[in-house]
Amino acid sequence: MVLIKFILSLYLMATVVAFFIAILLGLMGRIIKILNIQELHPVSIPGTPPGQIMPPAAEADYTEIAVAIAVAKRESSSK
Amino acid sequence: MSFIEVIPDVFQGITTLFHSEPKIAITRIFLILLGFTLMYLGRKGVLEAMIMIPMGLGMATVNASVMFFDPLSIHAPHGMSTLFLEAQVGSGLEPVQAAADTIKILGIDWLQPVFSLTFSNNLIACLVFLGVGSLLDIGYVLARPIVCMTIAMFAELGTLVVFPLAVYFFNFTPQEAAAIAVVGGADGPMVLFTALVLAPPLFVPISVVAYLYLGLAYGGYPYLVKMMIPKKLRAIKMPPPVKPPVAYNSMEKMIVAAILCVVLSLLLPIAAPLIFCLFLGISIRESGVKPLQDLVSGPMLYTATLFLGLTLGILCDVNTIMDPKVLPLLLLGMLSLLISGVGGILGGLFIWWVTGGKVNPVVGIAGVSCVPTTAKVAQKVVSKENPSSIILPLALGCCISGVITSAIISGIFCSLLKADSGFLVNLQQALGNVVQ
Repeated sequence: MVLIKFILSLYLMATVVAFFIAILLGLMGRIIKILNIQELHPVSIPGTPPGQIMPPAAEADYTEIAVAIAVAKRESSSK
Repeated sequence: MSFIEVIPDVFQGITTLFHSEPKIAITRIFLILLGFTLMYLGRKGVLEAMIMIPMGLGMATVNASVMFFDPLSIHAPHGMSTLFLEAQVGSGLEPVQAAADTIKILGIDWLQPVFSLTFSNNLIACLVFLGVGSLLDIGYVLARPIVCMTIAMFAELGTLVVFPLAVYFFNFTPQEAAAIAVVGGADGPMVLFTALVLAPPLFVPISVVAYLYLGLAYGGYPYLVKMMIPKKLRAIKMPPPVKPPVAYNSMEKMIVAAILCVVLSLLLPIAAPLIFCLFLGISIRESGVKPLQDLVSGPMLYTATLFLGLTLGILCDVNTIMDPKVLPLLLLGMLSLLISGVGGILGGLFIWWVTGGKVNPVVGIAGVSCVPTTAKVAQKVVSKENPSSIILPLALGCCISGVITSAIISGIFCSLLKADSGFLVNLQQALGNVVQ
């Protein structure tokens, strides 16, 4: 009887936690839609293949990336 | 000494058969044949090939390659062992001797580093969860969280039933019984984890039994579904929802995964490593960092699965299988998974009834977790009856919820029954079995 009580209490506790998580998921789903969070698209450097934040190592190293960013900034500020 | 006289020393795999007790020799031959059978069934697709092929070959080979070799002098009286791994190294010794033995055996047995550094500390289970997480789409749970979680809670029935049975009828301690009952949650990594925390001496046999049965579930559950759900219900085509399902972008899914990971870790810190790995996998999937996703869902997942299967096979040596506690474990493990399957199907039927027949009850079997095997089983069974019926998205949602409910139950078991828990002492006192 002791074990039956124990396991039933454990199951009840697990059910409460599981439904808390389910309700939390449901609420989060709604709140996130209300907040209208947009997909983040990392700013890519001109010449970078789609989906890559940095150019492939074979084509550019970090110095070239820094230069490319500086050039892009200067161009955008002069417009 | 003549050449004929040294032949037994050369072919020690055979010689050791004649130097062992008959029941050990017969068990070794049986395990070799069982290994071949598992490989065959894996290749045929009846069992999960990814686990069964390395496990089967490992089981057959480790039982064939026994020799007169006992560097730690722990295999009295004949001193027979293999060059694969020593699962019980250091157990029962004082810490300094245990550490010395472990270091010594790490330099001898080729799979010992994998066992000691990835298996017995649960790293391999975490890596599998990381890879599995990177294959999961949390959007499936977000679509119908209450339905998924209800089915998943039904599918924990095996854990609920087997725990008291193991204590009452097989005289296991509450901790051992909990570690065995968690097999019903059908999450290999969770079983490894619970056994490691609650019943370290039974860690090896429980993990072997759990993965053996998880492989068998792939072959057995379709028959259970067919037995419990009539053909007419299996063929139900789920109508599209009245409101189109909300689509979540990857940024939203990542936020949900991060919050859920933190909330679950706050609630169940003891299961946090596994929870973290699962949600890290999901976050990597949604992050858009393709090289990382390719790494964890490809090479890392497959390497971890290969070594998991291999280590489990190697652990199926005659010493483990002949442990008197293994037979009850085999029975209880099978019972736990079977009852969980029945519970999941009952959950599916309950949801079918509540929704007025709009949900195909076969999704219930996916609540048993075992990601993504049971979801694949559910879709396979339904496709046989009605090829145009697609239940996989909901089934995957139930599968993911099954992982969450298994983590919840394992976490509660581990918190309540860990060695220094006052609750355990009270429970044992109540059972008339006070720990000194």
